[in-house]
Amino acid sequence: MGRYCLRRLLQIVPVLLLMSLVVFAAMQLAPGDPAVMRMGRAAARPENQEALAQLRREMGLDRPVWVQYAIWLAAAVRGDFGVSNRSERPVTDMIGARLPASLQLIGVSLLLSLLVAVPLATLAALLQRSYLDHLIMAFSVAGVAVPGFWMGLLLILAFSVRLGWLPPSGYVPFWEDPGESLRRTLLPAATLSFYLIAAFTRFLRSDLIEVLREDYVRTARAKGLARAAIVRRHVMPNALISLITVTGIEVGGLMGGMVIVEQVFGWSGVGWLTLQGIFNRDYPLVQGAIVLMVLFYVLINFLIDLLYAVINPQIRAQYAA
Amino acid sequence: MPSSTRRSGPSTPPERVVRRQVWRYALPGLSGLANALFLLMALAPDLIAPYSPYEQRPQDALQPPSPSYILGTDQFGRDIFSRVVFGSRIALLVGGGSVMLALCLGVPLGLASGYWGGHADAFLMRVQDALLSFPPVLLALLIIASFGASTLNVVLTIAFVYAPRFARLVRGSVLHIKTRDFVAASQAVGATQWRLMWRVILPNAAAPVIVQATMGMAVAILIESGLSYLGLGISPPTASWGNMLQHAQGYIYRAPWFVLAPGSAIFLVVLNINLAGDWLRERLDPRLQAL
Repeated sequence: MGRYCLRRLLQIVPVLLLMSLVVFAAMQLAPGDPAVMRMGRAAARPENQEALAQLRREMGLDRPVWVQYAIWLAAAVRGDFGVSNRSERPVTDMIGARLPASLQLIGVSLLLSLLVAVPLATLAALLQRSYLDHLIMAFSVAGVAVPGFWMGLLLILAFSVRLGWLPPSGYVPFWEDPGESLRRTLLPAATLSFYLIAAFTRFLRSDLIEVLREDYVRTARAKGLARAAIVRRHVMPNALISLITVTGIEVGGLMGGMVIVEQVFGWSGVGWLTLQGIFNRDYPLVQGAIVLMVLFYVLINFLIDLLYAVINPQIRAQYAA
Repeated sequence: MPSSTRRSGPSTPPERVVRRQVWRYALPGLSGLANALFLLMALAPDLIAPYSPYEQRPQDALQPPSPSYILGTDQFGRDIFSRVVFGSRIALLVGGGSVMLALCLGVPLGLASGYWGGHADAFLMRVQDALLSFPPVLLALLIIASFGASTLNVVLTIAFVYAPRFARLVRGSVLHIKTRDFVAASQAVGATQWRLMWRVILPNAAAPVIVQATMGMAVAILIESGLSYLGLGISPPTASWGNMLQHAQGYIYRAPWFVLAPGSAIFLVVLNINLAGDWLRERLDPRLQAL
């Protein structure tokens, strides 16, 4: 197990290095002089040219690009993504302050999707080819075609504009008012979950159908085990793997969806902050936020690979020797 | 015996057979029709749209749906229906253009990489791993953040997001196909490397690529509308379904109908392209036919 962990961790390193290179290169190609942007309008005045040159030296902009990359990377590894050229605050602090909002949104969305998708998929698989199954599949085919932000707008239209039950936007920290915080999470989380439920249900249903055709399920049925017990004891544990797989696949989409949904609902999380960075041409902020989001995505997939080994003895055995 | 074979036996009631045949042909037919309509809208919007998508009539701003404006008007009194029709142009341009470009980049790379292998292949695969480790929307945001928002940049961005996916798909198929006997046979009768790659191997690797390209177009339209909604895609006054929705949100209390039409257009187009992709997959993918 330890060896497997180490091997997977080592595989991540080159991917992360290249990823950092892509992010750094994209920001290098962006128009504009970072020192001028940091200084703002004052940089245009002739009497400030001395100070501007000084700032450029401080920021290391007079050095070769690859040296700049090395300096940036060395700092990034220590968790330092530089200073925002708008607020002059460390980028890491700014992102850290927004992290709880995003984690809360992602956590609630994932939980909600699994709570709905697992029963739906099980029902559809057990009642294969029934009307209920067709209905669930129709929903899941349609669900992946709905743009997330439009789903959000429709929910706002229904629950805020028409019914007036929930506020259309805004984030309240959980530690300030847990009830209000969860109430406000409902619409954004439902928006994010909608796509996930559709994707999870489709994937899990076809996997469950495959498991239901296995010999050991037939054996269990032949020895007279109740249907519910077969599903609980033999089918579900085997379908768990595919549920973890599809979660890993969809986490990437979830990160992208998060950025958009946070904007729809004015949910001031990391995605929202990233967009503010893009609108303000705050490149250090965008750089830091995107690196952290991709890092999160890569780490989740790493954890998922570890989970495979925990759940599936066959994978564990490969590395035990 | 699995229940599926029993059901298709001779004892199946005729109305059931009819129902199944109707489902089998009606659904692809309907979605094909919808796709044809989408193409018509995009290629000849003037035929369908009753008004110009740009003409402003301030006295008619934010009108609810009525006989003269069947989907209502926007904040400048422009006809929403006409703007939705013209918005299909952008959807087709970005969806089709970006997938075409991604194919032009990804297919040759995947083909060369799978056929020759070696260090270049290993290097390209690592670069692709890095690009694929970006969630698509984040990579798109990164590129737009650095190059700015414009129609061309959105097309280039989505192409850049998709090219590695196509390259990987082609490479995987090529690795498998190049070991088959008919490739060796072509080589034995003197086919050039170029001919082997493009005329012998690629046609046999094409099916999954066609399916993925179709599905990719749907995702491209979703990404474009998302970027435009954020204000990072197609900029006004050009009508795009995404940027219409961005403005609709601001009037959601005064003009709730404004939100419905552009979103329904995205949903229907993406749904029907996906259905076409599913249909193609069933027809073309030999792996699925074996199941």
